[in-house]
Amino acid sequence: MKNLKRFLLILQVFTVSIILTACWDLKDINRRVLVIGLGIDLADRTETENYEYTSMIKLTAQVAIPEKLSGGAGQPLSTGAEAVWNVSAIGRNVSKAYVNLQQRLQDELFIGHTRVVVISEDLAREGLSRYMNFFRNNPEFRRLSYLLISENKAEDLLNTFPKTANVQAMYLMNLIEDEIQRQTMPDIPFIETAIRGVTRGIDPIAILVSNDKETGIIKYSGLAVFRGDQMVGKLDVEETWSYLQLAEGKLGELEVVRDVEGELGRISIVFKNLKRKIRPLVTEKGNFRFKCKLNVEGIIFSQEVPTSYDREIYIDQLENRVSVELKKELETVFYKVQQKYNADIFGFGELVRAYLPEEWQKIDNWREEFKKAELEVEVETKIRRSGMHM
Amino acid sequence: MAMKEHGKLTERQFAGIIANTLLGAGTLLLPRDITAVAGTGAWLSVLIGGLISIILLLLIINLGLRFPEETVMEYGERLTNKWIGGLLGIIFSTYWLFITGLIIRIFSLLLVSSVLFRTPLEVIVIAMLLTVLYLSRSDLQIVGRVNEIYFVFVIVPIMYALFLGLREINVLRILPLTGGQGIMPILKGGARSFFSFLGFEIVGLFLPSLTTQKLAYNYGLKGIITPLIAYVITMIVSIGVFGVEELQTLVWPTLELIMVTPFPGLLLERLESVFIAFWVVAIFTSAGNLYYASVVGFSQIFKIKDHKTLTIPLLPVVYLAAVFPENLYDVFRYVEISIKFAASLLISTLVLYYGAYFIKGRRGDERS
Repeated sequence: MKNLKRFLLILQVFTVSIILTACWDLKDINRRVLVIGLGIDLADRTETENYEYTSMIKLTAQVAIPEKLSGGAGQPLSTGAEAVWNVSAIGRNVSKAYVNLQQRLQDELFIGHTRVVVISEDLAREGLSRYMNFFRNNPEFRRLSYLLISENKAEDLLNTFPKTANVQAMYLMNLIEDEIQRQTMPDIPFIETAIRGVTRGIDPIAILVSNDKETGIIKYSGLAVFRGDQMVGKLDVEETWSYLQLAEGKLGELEVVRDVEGELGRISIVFKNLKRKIRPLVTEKGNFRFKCKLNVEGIIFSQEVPTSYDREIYIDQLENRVSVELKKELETVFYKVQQKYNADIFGFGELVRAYLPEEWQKIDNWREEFKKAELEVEVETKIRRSGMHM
Repeated sequence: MAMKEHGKLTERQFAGIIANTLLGAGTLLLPRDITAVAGTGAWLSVLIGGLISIILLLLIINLGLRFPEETVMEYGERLTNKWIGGLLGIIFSTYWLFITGLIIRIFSLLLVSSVLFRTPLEVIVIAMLLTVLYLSRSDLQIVGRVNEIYFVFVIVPIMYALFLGLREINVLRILPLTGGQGIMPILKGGARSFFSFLGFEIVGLFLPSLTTQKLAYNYGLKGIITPLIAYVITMIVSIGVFGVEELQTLVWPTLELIMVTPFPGLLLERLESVFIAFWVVAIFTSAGNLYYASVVGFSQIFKIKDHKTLTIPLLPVVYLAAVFPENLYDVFRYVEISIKFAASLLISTLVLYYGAYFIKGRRGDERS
C-alpha cells in the first residue's frame, strides 16, 4: 500500500510536468527582431503573372539593432542609419508582405514595439482599411502607435535620417508627441483613425509628413483628410491649426494681424488659452447649423512697429482684429473641407448624434446633410500681456 | 449532509461568492453585446439587467430563508414532489456545468488569440479544469475563504483599469445618455446583459450554511451590487473610448480597452498581460464556484453523502461543454442561448416554488 502510494506520487509528478507546459509560447527576446517602424507603399508589379490583385504592396520594416544602441565601453553610440536596419518585402497584401519579410530575416518579427506606421499617400488614396485590418487583428500591435501619411514613398521616409536623430522611428514619435503637447497637432493614434473610420458621424484624419532625403529633414506638413476609407485631400499646417481650434478646441499656433497704429507693421499673437463651445441646431430650412463660440486668450509675441498698447482703445482694436481674423480662418477651413472634400473631419455628425438624437435617427446619409450645414462662429479675444517689451 | 452545517460560511464569504461568480467571462463580452442593441444607452441596460437580477436574488434568498435548514435542492423536492423537484435540480446542475464549460471556453479563446498563440486551446481548457477540480474537492469552508481572499484580486485590477480608462473618455461618444432610440432597445439590452449576472442562483445552495441568516439580504445585495457597479463603469468607459460603432468590430472589447489605456509611468507600458493574469483569477472563481455548486447539487439530488465522489466523473462533461462549440461565432451563439434558457428556467422555477409554497401553505414546515 505504501509503495503504491509512493508510486502514485511519482506518477503524479510526471503527469504534472506533462500537463503544465508553461513554455509553449516561449520566445527568447534575443531571438526576436524588434520592429520599431513600418512603412507601406504601393509597389510596381515586378512579376508578369496575372494575379487577380492589380496592385502589390511593399512593406518596409525598420528594425532596431540592440547592440548598436547600447554602445559598448568607450565606443560612441551608433546613430542614424547605423542604429537601425530597414528591410523591405513585396506582397499582394500586408500579411503576404509580412510573411515574405519574415522569410528574409532569420528571427521572428515582433511588431509589439512599433511606434509609427508610415503609409504613402497614393496608397492612402486607394483606401486605408484593407491595409489596416492586418494591424487590427494582430494582438501584439500597439493601438497607441501613430499613423503617418507620407507625401513621398514611405520607404524613403524611413530612410531619411535627421542629423539629431538617434533612432529614426523614435525621432518620428518624439516629433509627434512634441507637436501634440504644444497643441499644434491633433492627437490621432492608430486606434482613433480606426474608430473614425467606422463611425458615421466623423471622418478620419491622419498626420501628413514630407521628407527630404538629401538634407535629412522630416517635416510635419499638415493633415490628410479622409472621406470614410479613402484619403481625399490635404490641409496645410496653418489650416491644421484652424482645424484644431474649431474641431478640438486646442490652441494652434501664431496668429498674425496688422498693427493697429502703424498699418504697415504686423503683430504676432500666441494663444495661451482657448475655450470652445459648440452646439448643433436645426434651421427653419431643415439644415443643420453649428454654433461655435470661441474664447481665446493671447499674448503679444512680437510686433514690427513699436506701438504701445497701454491705451485701452488700441488693445480693444487689436482684440477685435484677432477675432475677425480667427473667424475668417475657421470659416475658410470649414467651407474648404465641406465643399471641396465633403468629409466631416470635424465630427459635427457626432455632435448631432449626441445632442439632437431624434434628428440623427432621421438621417440616412450624413455626408449629404453635412454638405448643406452652416457654421456660425463667434470669437472673443482677450490680449493679456506682451513678452518682456512694452 | 456535511456541507450545510450552520456557520460554515460567513456573510462576507457569502457576498464574495456572489461577486466572484458574476465577475468573469461576462465582463469580457459585455460592451459589444449590449451596445449592439442599446447604443449609447447600454449602461442603462446593464442597470436594468442588474436590477432584475437583484430582485431575483432577493426572491431566492427570501424563499431559501423560509427553509433555514435546507438547500434549494431539498426543499424543492418537498414543495413539489420528488420527480419535479429532482428534475429541476438536475436541470439547474447540468446548466451550471454547461456554463462552467462556456466560461472556460471563452477565456481560453481570449488566451489563445491574445497571448498564448501556439498553445492548443484544449491544453488551456484542461489546465483550467484541473484547478477548478482542485477547488471543487474542498469543503464549503475552503470555497468560502478562497472567494473572500480572491475577491480583492478580482475587483481591484478591474476597477484600477477602469479608473485609468476614465481619463481616455471622449464625452461626446457617451451622449446621448439614453441612447436616443426610445426605451425598447434599452430593455432588450437589459435582457442581453443577463449573461454577466448569471450564477447568482447558486446562493440557494449556500443559504443554510450561513452563520447569521438574517444578514443574507444585506450581504447578498453587497455581493451583487459590486459587479453591477463594475459593469456600469465598464460600459461607460468602453463606449466613451471606442464609441458604439467601433465596439461592434471588436472581438474582446474589454481587453482592447486595456490595450488602449496608457498607464502612468513608462516602466510597464503594456499591461494587457498583467490584466489577463488577474483575469485568470476572476475566471477561476466563477468557474470554480459554478462547478462546485453543480457537483453539490447533483450529490444532494442523488443523496450522495460526500460531494467529492462526483467531482471527477463530472469533469469530462464540462470539458465536452467547453470544446463543443466549433468556433468563436458558435461560442457567442451559445452565450445567447444560455441567457434565454437561464432566464426562463430561473423565473419559471421561482414562480413554481413560490406558487407551491403558498398553495401548500406552511405544511412543509410542519414536517421538518
